[in-house]
Amino acid sequence: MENPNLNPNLNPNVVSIYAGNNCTGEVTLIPVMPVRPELAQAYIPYQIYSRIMPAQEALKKGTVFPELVR
Amino acid sequence: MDEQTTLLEQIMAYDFALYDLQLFLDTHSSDANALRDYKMALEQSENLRRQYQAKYGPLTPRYLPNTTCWQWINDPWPWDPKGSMNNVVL
Repeated sequence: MENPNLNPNLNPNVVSIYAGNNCTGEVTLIPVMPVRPELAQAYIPYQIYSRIMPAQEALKKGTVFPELVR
Repeated sequence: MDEQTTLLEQIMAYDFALYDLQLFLDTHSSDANALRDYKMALEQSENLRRQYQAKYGPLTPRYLPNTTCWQWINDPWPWDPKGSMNNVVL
């Protein structure tokens, strides 16, 4: 049976995110978040690459990813 | 800030960016944009190291410029900017 989390019609969060290594193995589709998150389970949204900050600014802020700055 | 310190700070910044991008790539190994930015940061880091070492000497013992002397032990050490001989009374 098809995994509803990976069906773009059911889960708008699927977009086109691929994990795994497409140089050495099978590409895997990963949803940003499950379409029906279950209670009492911990989820971490899958990070999507946007842009990185200039290196000097990143060192000051502790991350190169603007979306991770708190 | 003098040029030497500025260069060191830039090297630290690019090396940090490389490490953060490495962590991302470990879980997103097919991300072409992340890989492109990793390559750019690596190039920057290597250029800055080359610049720094040509002017101010080795950052690690593996830097072997075209001389007959072992430069790694040359003063000043990074934590002793004046050079250790300044503290020795002969």
